[in-house]
This record gives sequence, C-alpha cells and structure tokens, in this order.
Amino acid sequence: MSAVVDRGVAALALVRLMQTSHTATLEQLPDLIAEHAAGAGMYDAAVFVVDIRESVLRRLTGKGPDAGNDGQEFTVRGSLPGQAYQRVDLLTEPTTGNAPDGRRRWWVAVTDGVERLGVLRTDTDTDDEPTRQAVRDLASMTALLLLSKRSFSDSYARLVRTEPMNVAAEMQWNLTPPPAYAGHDATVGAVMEPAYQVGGDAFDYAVAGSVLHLGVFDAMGHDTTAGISANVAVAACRHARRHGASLAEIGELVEQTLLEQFGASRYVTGILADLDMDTGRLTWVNRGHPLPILIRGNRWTTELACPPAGPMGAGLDLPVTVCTEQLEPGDRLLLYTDGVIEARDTRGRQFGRDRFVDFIRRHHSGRRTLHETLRRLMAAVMDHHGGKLDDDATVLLAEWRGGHQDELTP
Amino acid sequence: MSTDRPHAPYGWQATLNTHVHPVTADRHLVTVAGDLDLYTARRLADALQPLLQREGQAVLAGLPGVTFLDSTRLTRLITAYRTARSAGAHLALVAPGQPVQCMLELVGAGQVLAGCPTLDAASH
Repeated sequence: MSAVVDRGVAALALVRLMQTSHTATLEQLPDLIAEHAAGAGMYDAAVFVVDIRESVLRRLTGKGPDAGNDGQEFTVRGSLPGQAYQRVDLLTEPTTGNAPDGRRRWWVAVTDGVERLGVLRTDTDTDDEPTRQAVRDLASMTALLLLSKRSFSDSYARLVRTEPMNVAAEMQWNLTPPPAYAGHDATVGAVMEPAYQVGGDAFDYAVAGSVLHLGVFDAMGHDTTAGISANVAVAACRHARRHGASLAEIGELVEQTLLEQFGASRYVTGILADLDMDTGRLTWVNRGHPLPILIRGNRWTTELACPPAGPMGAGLDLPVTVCTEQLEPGDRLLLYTDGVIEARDTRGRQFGRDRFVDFIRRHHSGRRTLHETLRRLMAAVMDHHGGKLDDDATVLLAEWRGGHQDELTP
Repeated sequence: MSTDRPHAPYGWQATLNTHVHPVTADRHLVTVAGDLDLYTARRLADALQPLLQREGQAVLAGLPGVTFLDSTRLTRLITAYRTARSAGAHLALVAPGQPVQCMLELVGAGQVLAGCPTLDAASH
C-alpha cells in the first residue's frame, strides 16, 4: 500500500520535529529528521551538508568526531545532489534510481531561503504537487534546525572542512555574518579565500531599518596578527555603528582603536558603505581600499571613485570624504579585496579586474543565483592560481531590486 | 657614500643596499638600490629614522627601480612619515616606479608622501 503525502500531516510532523529538536544535539538531528519525516510519508530522509568551499556534500550521520562517519559523499560539480544544490532546486532521480519499492527519490537544496547549507534526500510513494511541497518544507525545517545547532557544534565545524584551518581563519569564520542575506529589496552574498588559511580579510553587513550596512576589510599581513587586527577593526566598526556613528565617524573610531592597540604598526584598509534599501541611495567612505564596482544591467560597469582617507590605523590624518551614488533597480555592487584580481597563474598573469567583472556579468544572469555565481567565481580564481592563493581574496556582491523584491533569487 | 653602519647578521648586505647622501646640511637623500624587499625596506627605515627626528630636516627617499610595494613595506614608509611629522621634519619620495605610485595613490598615502620625479631633481 502506498502512502499519500498530505501537506497538513507533514506540517504537523515538522512542528513536532521542531519541538523535539530544542533539546537535541546536532548528532541527534539526522535520526530525528528521518523519524518525523517517515511519519509523514517521506522515507529514508538523509541530510548532506556542504563544506565551506562549497565543493562537496557530506552526509550528516551523527556518528564519529565529525558526525559524518560512514557517510556517503557527493561532489557539488557533476552529481545530481550537486545539481539540486547549485540550482537551489528540487530534483528527482530517474525512476530506475536507488529508492526501494518503486519509490520516487528526491534531492532538494537545504536552505533557509538565502544561505545554502546542503541537500536533503528522501523517498516518497507519490509524485504530485503536495509531495513536492512537503519535501521542500522538510528541507526548510532542516535548514533551521542545522542553523540552530551548528554555532556550538565542533562536529559540524569538522564535517564542513576539507583541510586543517589556521588560527586567523578560525577567527575570521566566527567574525563574519552568514555568507548570504536577502530581504527588503536587497540580496548580499560574500566569499572569502583561502578559506582555511585566511589572514586579514573580513566582510561585514548588517540591517537597521531600511539601511543595509556593507563593509569589506583587508588587514595588512597574512599572519595571526592580521587576523587579530581584522577582528579589532570589525568589532570597532560594529561598536560605532550600533552607537549611531556616521560612516566617517565609524572609520575614525576604527582608526583610533587600531592605533591604541598597534601604534600604527598594523593597519586595515576598507570600504564602509550604507545602502538605503528604500531609495537606492548609496553612501560610502574609502579607507585606502580598491574602489567599489557598480554593474548596471549588462551594459555598463564603473568604479565608484572616492578620495581615499588612508588606511584605518595608519594615522595619516587625511580628510574623510563621504561619497554618494544613486542606484537603479537591478544594480549590483561589488566590494572586494585586491587578492581577487591579483591572483596570478603559473605564467605570472593576474586574474585581473576585467576578468573579475566579466565573470560576474556572464555568470550572474537569469537562472543562476548570486551565491552560485560567487561560488563559481572563487573556484575560477582558485583554478587560475593553481588551487592555492598567496593573498586573501574576498568578494561581497550586493544587488538592489528597488521595489521588485519578488524577483530576488537568493 | 654609505653611512649605513653594518651590524650582524645583515652586515655587508646593508652597505650594498642603502645609501645616505647629504645634499645640504638640512637635506638628505637616502636611496635604495634594487628592489625594496622585506629586508631592504627595513634597512631603509633604519636609515631614515635618525634623519627624520631632526626638526626642519628634509629627507628624500630615493626609490629608483623599486617596482613593488606590499603592505608590510608600505607600513615602513608610513611609520617614517609619522616620525617625520611628529618631529617637524619632511619626508618625500623620489622616483617611485609606476606600480609603487599606484599603490600610494590607492591607499591615500600619496597625498602625504608626494615626491620628486627623478633623483637628479632631488639632488639640487
């Protein structure tokens, strides 16, 4: 007898799953999810999480030091689960697939609506719209459960790493907000490499009312102290911001804090920006950093010029200019650190700014999401540099829709 | 003429790389031959430091042939500038290569470390 998936029954199962999860550990999630899903006609549910470089999907089994013992693994590139992940979609295996009893096997991206955490696999007897919806609902709930447990799970941290991490990277990954945001007519995505050996790069964003604050930082050096100075800079920036400081004042407070700590021996360059998500008005200050790039449609690209006020912590006492730009709906803003364009191939040729901007323009179109574009960009930068970067490379891409939020593709 | 005192462990290399030329009593030209690597940047900073602590002193740092400036090296120049500023001395860069000039402009340091285009111009 085949079980029909009813969305109401599934919804109740998900609520019970949520309540049970409150006192569960990450290791207990796979069994809890499978058990509650089976009660709603979604069998053999399995959770796969993506590594921080988004190259591989690893099954969360709940066993062993990384909660992934005896688990299957798929590459993001070239596998069906990887396709579901890349497209942020629900895909089904061909009927001759691996599911027992003639069931349909589904693969669906696990996402909280913005950040992609991995994929979920489950089998059902039916293949109709309510079934598809219930599988998507299960994936949404799985995303929230993973998010609620991962911040204090060393097993999760181990499972999503494919290499050992240095101390600075350990700091930076805890410093930055999630690599994806969407809401209030804007989408933000960010990537940072070398993921396991990062030095002094950091990015930040935050929302207050209709203002989206954006920041990219590059602390000099590639050692642990670079990581410390980036942390000090971001913390000082948040401190100033949350006390209502203007962009110019934020930069000055970061400068003073770094001078107190390092006496001008360490500095941090950066772009600090505020985007009014209601009006599209962008304001920013340039603290000795590569200029933001504005992409308008696929026709027009420009660097947003703004006189540099010197790196924060260098104590040059240069005047601070607050620059403004009116964005148009659909505009994309790129903030980045020099490691992206200066990555060199074996013949010494840089990846270059033109190739960087071209890549975003060609890949970030229609069916591909902003985050998938960034994943591919970083893979291309890494490939260009033979898989290993000498300098930190960070890209933050923000898209403003201006009243067309329904067109946002997280 | 080199007034850079050699000391272990860098000794002989230092005399090869950093040269201090007195132009007038209150004007010195310090040049670095070859590339400004981590080692020569430190020697340059060491050579500049005592000169920059004299009020009214004009110090010209000659960087012919220097084609690359990373953040660590830039920090040396910024530190030298700050020393000069607090002592009332003046530091200028002479003949920085195009990439160095670009880096200085990018971060804003070019606004305070402006310089002469050639060594000849600086020597007179």
